[in-house]
Amino acid sequence: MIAVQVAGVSKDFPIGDETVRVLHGIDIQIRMGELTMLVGPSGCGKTTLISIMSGILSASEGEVTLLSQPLAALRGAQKVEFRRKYIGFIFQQYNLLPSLTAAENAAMPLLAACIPHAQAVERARAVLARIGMEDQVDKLPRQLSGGQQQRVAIARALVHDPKLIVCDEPTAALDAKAGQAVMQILRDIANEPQRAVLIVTHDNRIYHYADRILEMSDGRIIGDTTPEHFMHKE
Amino acid sequence: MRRVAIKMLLGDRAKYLGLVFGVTFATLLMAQQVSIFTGLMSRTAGSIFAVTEADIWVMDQRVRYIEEVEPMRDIELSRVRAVPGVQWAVPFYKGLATIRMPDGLTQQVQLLGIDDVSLVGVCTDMVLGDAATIQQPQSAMMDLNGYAFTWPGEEPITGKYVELNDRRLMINAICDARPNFFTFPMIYVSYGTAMEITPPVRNKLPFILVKAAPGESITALTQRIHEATNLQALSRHDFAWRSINYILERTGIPINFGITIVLSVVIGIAITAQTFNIFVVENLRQFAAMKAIGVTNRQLFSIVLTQAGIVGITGYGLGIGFTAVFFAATADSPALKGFILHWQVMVGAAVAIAMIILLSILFSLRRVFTIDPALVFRG
Repeated sequence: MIAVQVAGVSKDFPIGDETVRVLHGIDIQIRMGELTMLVGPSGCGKTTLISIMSGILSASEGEVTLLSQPLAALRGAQKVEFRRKYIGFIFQQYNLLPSLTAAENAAMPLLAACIPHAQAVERARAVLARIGMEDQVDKLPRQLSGGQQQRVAIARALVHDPKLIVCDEPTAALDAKAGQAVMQILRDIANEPQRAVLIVTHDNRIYHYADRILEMSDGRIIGDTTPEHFMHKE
Repeated sequence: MRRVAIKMLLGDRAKYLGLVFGVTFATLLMAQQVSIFTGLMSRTAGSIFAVTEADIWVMDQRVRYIEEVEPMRDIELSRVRAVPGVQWAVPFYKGLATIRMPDGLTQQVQLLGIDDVSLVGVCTDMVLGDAATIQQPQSAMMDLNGYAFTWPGEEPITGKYVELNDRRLMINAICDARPNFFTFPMIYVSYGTAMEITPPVRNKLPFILVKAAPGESITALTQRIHEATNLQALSRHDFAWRSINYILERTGIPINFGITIVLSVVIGIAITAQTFNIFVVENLRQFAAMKAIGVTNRQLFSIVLTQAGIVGITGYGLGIGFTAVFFAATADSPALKGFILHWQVMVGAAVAIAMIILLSILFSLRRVFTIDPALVFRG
């Protein structure tokens, strides 16, 4: 089953008096039950592409269909609500709120959906326990290591049971051991048939976790291959 | 989300305290300065409000406020008494004088000459002795603050002497008088004594206090007195406001207070807006992340408003509290006696603080609303 269908997507950014095209007619599909990695050098358009695929940015041309819903058909608040329901985000810098506990941070998508605080935190605790964080639920981000903070971010991405998990360099700020632990969790998540995981990364230590690697360069997809083939090529 | 807003705010203690300090400072300065100003204006009319028995004050046409004395002829008292509708009319002396104390030092005082028979206008809030003793020759009553000013550190006792124009006056009573515009000691004597001890001039009568006959219209009677005597006759209320307006129009006091109040608002806005802006800017990435995961602008507005509300209520409460403590602590100080925090001042300060907070968050909200959630993808 297709989670995301990207058809002919281009993106232009105005810079001064000029318009710069950063994506050129991208056509890809992200499938359910797969862990897809989007790789490529800095500035090739990976971040712009995942921003468009997750409805944060709009495409200048082309169409993105997410879980059978064309994103262009959704207006402001509808798009925000759709994102809240169906997408989980994991960021490179974790972006946890420093004054909230791990459980409260993980509960944010539920709180945004107006679920009562106690109920939301309870669900977040359960998700944190699932990823081995049951002892850290009441700690503040500053009391956690980088790997633990990223696990809280994973819990936040999972707590509302989304269909698509979008990760931006999830291991970039972690040491090798913590990075592998985080990737194992994401790998397990991607094994669920009704869920797709899309990871943007530079980190060649984690390529083997992927089912599929999409290679980007200069705003174009230049390769769609398996990790083994990709690593062999590199 | 309200809980999230509160935790976000309280989690950054330094910024929170900075914000609260800004609002507290602005509230304290506004409430205290406005209260002192209104207290001062109320003091301007203090001598008028202290005389509760009379309905009308009669004086020379040229008098513009209570502290300005233009003496009238003694005959004017009889002419006023002759006006139909006047139940009674008595003389009232008010002027500045210099006393000499036993150690030879001199000091300026306010001399109040009270009608010998009726004692209309005398202070009745007694601390020691009896106000009626001023009916005795060479007898006087002093106000408590004046006593403390004249004999600092001494327990109030009766029987002390002061000298005024080579006449000895014995302080036989001490009262707690309503403060007025001047902070000089107040010495109450009988009108007769006042006439004896003040320098001999042709006219000495500064004011005539009038009581209207029962059922008589005060407005009509003032008009009638004016027509009959060509003197200025004003109701107690009108004379009080005339005195206050004189101070407002003819002195720099309102401008000075106004500058302080405006400065307090400007400083309050500057501190609060700046700190709030820094608070929002430093949390911008968090706000962007919240937007990315599906928090709406409306929810972000509610978060910022909750935070601003908490800062406003805490800062305002502390500011008003400190103002109240200030006035409670200085209640016995002669310079600030009678100055209180009126509820109108509290309401005014609340409105001003609400405006400061709204202005502060307006700038910050714009940034929150327009922030691109894609920012969180940029390392």
